[in-house]
Amino acid sequence: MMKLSSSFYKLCFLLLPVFAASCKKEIIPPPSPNDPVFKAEGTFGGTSFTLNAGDDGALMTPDVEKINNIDFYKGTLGNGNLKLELGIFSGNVDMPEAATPDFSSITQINFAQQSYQPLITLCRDSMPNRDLISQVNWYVNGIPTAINTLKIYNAGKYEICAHVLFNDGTLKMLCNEVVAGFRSNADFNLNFFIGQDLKFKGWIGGSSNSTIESASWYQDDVLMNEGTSLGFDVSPGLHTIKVVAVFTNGVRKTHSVVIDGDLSGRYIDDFTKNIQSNALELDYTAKIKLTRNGSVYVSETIANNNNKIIVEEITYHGINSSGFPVYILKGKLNANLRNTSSLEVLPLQLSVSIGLAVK
Amino acid sequence: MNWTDDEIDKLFQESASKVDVPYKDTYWNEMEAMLPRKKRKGIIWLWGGGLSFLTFAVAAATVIALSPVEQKPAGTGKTTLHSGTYESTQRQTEPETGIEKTPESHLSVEKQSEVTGNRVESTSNNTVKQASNTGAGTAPSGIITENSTPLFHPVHEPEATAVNEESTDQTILALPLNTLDFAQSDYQLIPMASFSGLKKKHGRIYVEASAGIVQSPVTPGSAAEWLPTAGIGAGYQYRPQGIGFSGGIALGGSFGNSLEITRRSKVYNFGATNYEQNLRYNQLYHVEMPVSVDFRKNNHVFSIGLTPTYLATTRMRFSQKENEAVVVEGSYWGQRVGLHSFGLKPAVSYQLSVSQSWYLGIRVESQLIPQTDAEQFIGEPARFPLSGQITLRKTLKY
Amino acid sequence: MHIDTTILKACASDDRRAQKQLYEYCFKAFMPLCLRYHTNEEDARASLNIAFLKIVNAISTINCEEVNFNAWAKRIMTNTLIDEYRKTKNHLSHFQGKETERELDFLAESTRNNAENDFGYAAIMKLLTEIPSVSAKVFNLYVIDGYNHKEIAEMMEMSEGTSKWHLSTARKLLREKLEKMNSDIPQKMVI
Repeated sequence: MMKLSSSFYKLCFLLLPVFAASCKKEIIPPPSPNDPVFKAEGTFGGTSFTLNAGDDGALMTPDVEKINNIDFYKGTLGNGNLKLELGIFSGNVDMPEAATPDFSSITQINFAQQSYQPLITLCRDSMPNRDLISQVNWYVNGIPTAINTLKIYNAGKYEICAHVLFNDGTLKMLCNEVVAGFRSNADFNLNFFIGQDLKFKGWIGGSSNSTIESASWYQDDVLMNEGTSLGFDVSPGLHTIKVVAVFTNGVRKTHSVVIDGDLSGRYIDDFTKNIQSNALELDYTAKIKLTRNGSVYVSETIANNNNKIIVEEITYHGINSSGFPVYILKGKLNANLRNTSSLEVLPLQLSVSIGLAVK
Repeated sequence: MNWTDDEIDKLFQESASKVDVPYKDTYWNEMEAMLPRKKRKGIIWLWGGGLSFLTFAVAAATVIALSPVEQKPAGTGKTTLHSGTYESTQRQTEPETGIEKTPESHLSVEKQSEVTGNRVESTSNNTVKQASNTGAGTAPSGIITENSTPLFHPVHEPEATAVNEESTDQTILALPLNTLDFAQSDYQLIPMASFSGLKKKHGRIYVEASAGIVQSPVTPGSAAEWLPTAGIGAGYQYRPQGIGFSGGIALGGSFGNSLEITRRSKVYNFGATNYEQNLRYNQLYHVEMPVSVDFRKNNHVFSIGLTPTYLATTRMRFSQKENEAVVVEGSYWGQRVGLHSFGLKPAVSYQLSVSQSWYLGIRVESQLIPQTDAEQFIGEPARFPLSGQITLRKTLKY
Repeated sequence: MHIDTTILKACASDDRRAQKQLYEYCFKAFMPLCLRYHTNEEDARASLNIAFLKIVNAISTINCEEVNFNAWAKRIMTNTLIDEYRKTKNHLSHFQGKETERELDFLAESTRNNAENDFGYAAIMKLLTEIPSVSAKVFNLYVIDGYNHKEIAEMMEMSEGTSKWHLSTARKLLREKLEKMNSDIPQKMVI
C-alpha cells in the first residue's frame, strides 16, 4: 500500500484556510435607486417649474410650525431660487387631548382665508360697569397691544389679559384664553351674583350641545369646589374667580371673572362673553406660500374661496429628524397666489407629492 | 457683565484659535499602522521574476552537474567490471589491468567487441556483470544471467573507473538517467529477472511549484493585461517510457488590479444620497485538480491534460462613498461579487527530467469557462484567457 | 499655516516620509477642531486619524497646485466628525429624534458644573462640553467653523429653524456659565 508523504498532508492542511475563507458573506450592494419621493411640478404665472427633492440642491423639510399658538403642519420643498411651502392648520384647537386626525380619509382640502375684518373685538365700552372704569389696557400673550379697544385679525389662540384701571385708582388684571378663527366645539358661561350679605353665588350656564364632565372653581387660584356651582362668603377686596370645565367630548375651557368683595362695583366680567367675533373656521384648511427669486406669494386671498386641493392620497412616510411623523400628501390643485408686497395675483397649477410633519 | 451674542462669539473664536495640543511621534506610529501597505505589484513581479530565475539557475546547474563526462580513454586496456548484487561477491582488482574477477561469479564475461562507453545494469535479484572495454573493434559477448529474459536497459554510470564494492541496488537506482552515447545495437540482451522493481520507479508522489503570467479575465484597456501568477501543488505521477499519467491538486494565485466593479445608486428621500461602491480584486486564489496524460521519451515528457478549477478565495479592496465622502474603506477576503466559481482549463506542457527526481518544464493553459460576470466589470471580457508558467517538479520516495 | 505642495505630491505618490510630515501638519491644524467635538483627547485623535486616512487616500485625486488644501482637508475633517456624531446617535437615515425644548431645558438645569478656577482659553472651550451636545455642535459649526444655518441643517439633518434655535440655546447657556465664572473669580479674568 502506497504511503503518502508528509508533504502531501501538509499541502492539504494549507488548503483548509483557503476553503474556510471562501465561505465569506458577500458585500451588500448599495440600496436600490428610486425615483424622487418629494416633488412638485406645475406652472406659476405661466412659467413651468419642477422641483424634486434631491436634485439641483432641492430639499424637503417637513415641520410643525406654531402660528399664533395653532399647530400648522407643513412641508417646504425647494432650493435657493424657488421654494414651495404647503401646510394644513390643525383643528379642534380646544381639545388638547384630541388624537391626530386620520389623514388617509381626506379627499379635498379648502384654502385658509385671510380675514379682512377683525376676528375678535374687545372694548371697554362693552363692559357693563364701564362707567366705573377709567381705562383698559389689553395684553395679548403678555405683550401690551391696545388701549380700551382690541381688534384681532389673525386666527389663533390667544391669552388675553385686561388690565383694568378703575376710576378710584384700583388696578386689577383679568386673563382669559380666546380662540379666534377656529371652531369652538363646546363652551360655557360663568355666571355669578353677590348679594348684600356678601354671599357669592356662581353657576355654569350656556353649555350648548355638550355635557360638562367636570368643573373646578378657584378663588385666587385656590381650589374652592368641584361642580357646576359655587357658593361662599366673600371677603373684602377684589378676587379672581376661575372655572375650568372639561366636556365629555374632550373640550377644555376656562373662564375667569373678578369680583368685588367691597361691593363697590369694581368687578370685571368675563369679557369673552361679549366678543364680537367674525365667524371664520380655519380648522384643517391649507395655506401655500411660494417664494420665487425673493418675492413671496401666499394663497390667502379671496380669489381662492372656491379653490380646493384635490387629494389623491395621504400616506405615512416615517419619523423625521425632529421626531415628528411625516405624511406624504399627493394631490393636484389650481390656486391663486397673492404677492405680499405688490398684491399682484398669479395663477398656480400644481401637481405635488409633499411631506407634511404632524403632531 | 452682560455678554452679548457678538461678545460670546468673539470670545469662543479667539479661544478656539489659541488651543494648542502637543504633538508626539508615537501618534504617527498609530496612524502609520492604519495606512495601507505599500503596493506589492512591483515586489510581486520581482519575486516572481526571482523565483523564475532561481528555478532556471538550479535547473541549469543541475543539468550541467549531471551531464555525462567524457569517458576517460581506457587506452591502458583497463576493463572494468561492475556488479551490483545482494549476494556478496569478492572481487579482485588488478590495478594494472583493471580486470576484476569474481571467483564465485556464475557469470562469465567475454570480450566480444570494442565499445566506447560504459554501462551498468543491475537488478534486485540478479547479478549482472557488464564489461566495458575500450579495446578496438570487438563486440561484447552476450551477458548471460540465470534468467534468460532478455531486456535491454541502458543505464548511465557517471564514472568510468572503479565501482564501489559496496554499491547496492539503491545506489545504482539513484544514479541519474541520461542519454546514451553509444548505439543500442552494440548490446544484445540484458535479461531481467523481474519487472516489479522497475514498476515502482515509475510511480511517484510529486510536489510542484510554478510561476508565470496569466491573462486577466477582463481587459480594462485596448490591449490584454498580463498578471503574475504562482502556484504550488502535489500529486501522483506514473511515467514510464511511453504513455503515463499524472494527477494532483494545486493552489494557484494571480495578482493584479485589473478586476474592478463600480456600483452606483441614487436614493431619494428628503434630499438624495449618492452611493458609490468600488470593488477591486487584487488577488485571486484557485484550487485546481490537474490531470494529464503524459508521453515520456527518455528524459522528455510531453503532457496534455485538463484542469478543473475552483475559486477558493479572493482579496479585494473595497470603498463606499456617500455623497462623495468615503464612509467605508478596507480590504476583504473571500468576496465573490461578479466572479464565477468553477472553471476548466485544457493544458499542454513539456517537462525535462533534469535528474532522477527533478523535472523542469513549461505549461500553457487556457480557461474555457468565463470567470467573470462581464456586465459588472469595467473593461472587455477576455475569451479563453491564456496562462504560461515555468514549473519545477520534484518526485518523492514513499 | 501652509503646507508645501511638494509634500502633498509626494504623499500622492505614497511617500511615507511625506505622509508623516503631512500628518504632523494636520495634527497641529485640526486637532483643536476635533477636540471641540469630543470630550477627551483619545477620541479626538481617533477621529483625526480616520479623517487623515481619507485625506491620504483621496489626495491623489486632487490637483495640489490649484486646490486649497486647508479648506479641502478641513471639509473632510468636519464631515468625518459629523458622520461619527450621526453614527453614535444611531443616525442611519434621515429619521432621528431630537431633544425637545422641554428636554433641553431640563438638561440645561442639570449640567450646571463648577467651572475651573482658571479663566484661560482651555476653560472657555471646556464650557462647550457642559451644554447639550447638539447645541454645542451647532454653535461650533456656526461660530467657530463658519457654516451657515442652511449648511448646518443639511449636515445635522434638521431644519434651519431648529439650527437657529440650537444656536440661540447655546448662546443662552454659555452666557449663564460665563456670567457665573465672571462672578466667581472676577480678579482672575484674563481675556
